[in-house]
Amino acid sequence: MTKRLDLESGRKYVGAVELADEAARLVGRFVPRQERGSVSELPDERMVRYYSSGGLISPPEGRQGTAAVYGYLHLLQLLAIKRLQAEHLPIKKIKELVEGKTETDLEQLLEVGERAQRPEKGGNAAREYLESLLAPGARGPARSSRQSLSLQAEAPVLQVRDSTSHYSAAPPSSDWTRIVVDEGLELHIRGDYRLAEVLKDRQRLARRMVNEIERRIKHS
Amino acid sequence: MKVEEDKSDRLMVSRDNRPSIEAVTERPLLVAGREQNIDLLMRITAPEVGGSKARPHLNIGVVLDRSGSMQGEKMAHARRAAAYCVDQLMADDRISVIIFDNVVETIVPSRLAEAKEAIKERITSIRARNSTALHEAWVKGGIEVSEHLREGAINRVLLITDGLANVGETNVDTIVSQAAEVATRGVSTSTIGIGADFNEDLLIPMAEAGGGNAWHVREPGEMERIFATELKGLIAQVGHTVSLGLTPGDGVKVRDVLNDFEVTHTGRYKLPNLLAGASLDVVARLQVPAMAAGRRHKILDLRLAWNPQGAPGSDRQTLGSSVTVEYADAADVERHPGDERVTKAVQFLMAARARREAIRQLDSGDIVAARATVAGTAQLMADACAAYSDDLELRGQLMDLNELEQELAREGDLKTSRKKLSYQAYNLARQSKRG
Repeated sequence: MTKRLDLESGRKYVGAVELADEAARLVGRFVPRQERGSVSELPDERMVRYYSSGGLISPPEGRQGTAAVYGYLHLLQLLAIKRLQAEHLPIKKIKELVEGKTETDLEQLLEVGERAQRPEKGGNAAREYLESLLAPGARGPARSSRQSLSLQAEAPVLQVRDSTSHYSAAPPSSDWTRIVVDEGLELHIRGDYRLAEVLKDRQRLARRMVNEIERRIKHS
Repeated sequence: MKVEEDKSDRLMVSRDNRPSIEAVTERPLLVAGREQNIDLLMRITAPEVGGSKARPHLNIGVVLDRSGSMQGEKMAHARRAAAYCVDQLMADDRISVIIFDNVVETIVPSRLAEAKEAIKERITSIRARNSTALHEAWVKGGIEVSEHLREGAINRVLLITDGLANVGETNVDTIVSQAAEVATRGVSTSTIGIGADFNEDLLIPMAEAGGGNAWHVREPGEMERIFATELKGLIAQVGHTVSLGLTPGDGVKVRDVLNDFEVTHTGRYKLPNLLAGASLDVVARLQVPAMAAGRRHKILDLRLAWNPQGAPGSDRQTLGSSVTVEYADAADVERHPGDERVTKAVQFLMAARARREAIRQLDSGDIVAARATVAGTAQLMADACAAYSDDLELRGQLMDLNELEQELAREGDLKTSRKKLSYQAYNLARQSKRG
């Protein structure tokens, strides 16, 4: 797995405060949203000292004056502790999972590679797609269908979300082709639209389009 | 007849890790001097996984129906099955649990399967009530799984329901195409239907499009076994997104592929996932040209493509083979006994088709015709396989058909009969045999 915290890997943090601040900045990327009812604390200086004394965070790499100097391993340890806490593991268990682990182990635990590949907010293609299905008024794959529906006077104008991007997070194409299918019926196709591979899926798509039209005619 | 691995097809990994294809015609020689239709059995066997090799990571979202109809025994078994599932996971697998009636509730957000007792405690507290927001619950289950999408892991939603989607999105085509979309983005869906009141025309296509399995639980007590089988399949999965391309040789035509697989627009057949050590029987009916005795003729090039489990999505593997047959005089051909593997595979796949025909007849209200279809199929199968009538697999198939025929004759619980027909047809067409 490629190291995705490359920028961090060579850095040194002078003092527990600096380490805690850096962890606090990154915590949102690696620690999933907190479950209901749990108190989510950002990493702070007190925590760094507490976990150091408990052996969950390794001894500092060295000293600069009176301040301890920490590195990448310490940053990963702190993030991993927060991550496992968010999953309600007891501290004893967390210690087992973190203590003595290499940077690579901890990166894996934090899913560093996978998370960093995702666009902002830690999203991915599957999740973005699924979330678009929960959007109010969403029917069917969010794809571009909302675009044409929003042209209807009675339909709410929804913001079109780019739910078709794949793992590569290609920039959404804004290149649309407009085709008049029938008198009063237009089809808008975005440049990067992929037609389903399987014939049955294509038939389903066709049926869905007809259903959408029927629904709207019935309503008006 | 010979099957040769195509030398021009460059292999990327050692052969031991790859599936193998065995192609068999009913008789080893074809009759010379006439055009004919032959059935070609292609048995695709996935490699056994070595004991040392770690199983894929699992990232499972259990989506459990707790609507009113689940009350009592069904709910109790569902709880036990879900708890069983938690017990089978390793500490670095992930699990989430979502329950739904008209409201969807995430009782265990995706987490490592570490604190098993705490997770099971939450599952134990589930009680049944209200109606069925199946679609929304499935979507939320998918979100929990996708949140921790891990390349190489098996990311799967297990949807368990006994009812019809009656809250929110209920259109079958919409839900099925969404399941396909989600599968292309790395999250697969398996479905478990309980009892007689769910919609098999939703749950089977949803699992097919979703790259998972469809299960029917007739008795609540079967639930734990089904869960165990599903988990065993997940752990044994060695390849996914499997396709088979058939290119006929000169003068040859592919008349039919009896499994009725979905076909991609490039003309490839979409096959089920590869499970370690398991075989899939594919039968193609070919029209082959007349040739003189002693001639050899290449009848088919086949190309299997798949993504190995655990490899990045871009690592697609292929295996090419060609099938050559030899022609001989009728007397020579007759000397060879028929290969029972081919006869059986053909009969089982035809019986799957007959079941689908019987479903159409049931749906149009013609129970008598449906019964006749089932009875006729049993007779054809028994006649065709008379030479090995004590074969256990064959006897099992005949018993299934007889049981169905009797049920239809009683005109009793047609909903259950229809489900049996659907699931048996589904399973026969993607039959995997172990070992």
